[in-house]
Amino acid sequence: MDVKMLMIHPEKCNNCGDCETACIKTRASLTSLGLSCIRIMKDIEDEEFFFPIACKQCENPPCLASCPKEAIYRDADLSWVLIDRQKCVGCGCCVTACPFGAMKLDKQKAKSYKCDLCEGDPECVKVCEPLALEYLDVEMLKYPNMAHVAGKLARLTKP
Amino acid sequence: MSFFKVNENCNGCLACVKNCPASALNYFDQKDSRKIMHNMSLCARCGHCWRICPQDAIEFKVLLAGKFDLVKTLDLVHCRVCGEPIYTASLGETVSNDIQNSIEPLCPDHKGSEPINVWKKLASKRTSQ
Repeated sequence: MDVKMLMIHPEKCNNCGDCETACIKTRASLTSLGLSCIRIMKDIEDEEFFFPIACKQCENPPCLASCPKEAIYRDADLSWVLIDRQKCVGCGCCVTACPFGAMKLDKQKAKSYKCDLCEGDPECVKVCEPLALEYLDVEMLKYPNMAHVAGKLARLTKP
Repeated sequence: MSFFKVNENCNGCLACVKNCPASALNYFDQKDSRKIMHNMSLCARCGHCWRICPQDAIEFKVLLAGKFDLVKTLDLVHCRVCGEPIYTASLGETVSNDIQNSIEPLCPDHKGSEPINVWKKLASKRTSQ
């Protein structure tokens, strides 16, 4: 099976919030926009720069290392980081450990949740009009690609 | 603490000990003194002892007040940006030991600055090349 991941192009994001809404709709338990797995972050210094953030599926996930119940695992086939909801006790260690704030805690159910890429069919990608989100084969999202896009952006913002 | 309480009216008649349906009360006589004991895990909180006590010595209401007892006080860590309490210092220590890395005291809403900084670093590297 091909490994696919979420690719984010922050320079294309226009802060419309459609991805957050789409994310909320996939989970019946979420009621407020602030609880979506994908969030659009705003740069404090640059008001025109928006950064949609979802789980990065880290190589060495801090959430996985911090979980005292071994409820977080990497799927062998898809190489996504996933949560075993049976084992999760909602202690919040992963939420503390995640450097991106991609781990969320459902306080009512006392379970953590995160982006699970809608089980292979991400809704946020479908609704993103400026195409800031892409669902790509993992081969396509190598570090040089990211640096290239970052470079383009830097040239745009600098006079 | 909301435990079983007996006030100074008690004269040690043992009416409560003999009548407790859950055998949650016990006593022993030792040399010059009589000691009356109560076992909280056996107690069914039926209030029988309180009803029958001839001296009104048992203060049973504390068991029914439904108040919370303080069991632990811990230091809190606040978000560096918004000041929202995020986790306890002790949990932060546990997690940073587990991931062998330090944790920035930021709430999930303000952790976004991290990827933005990474992005900017990439961008500056690219333009300097």
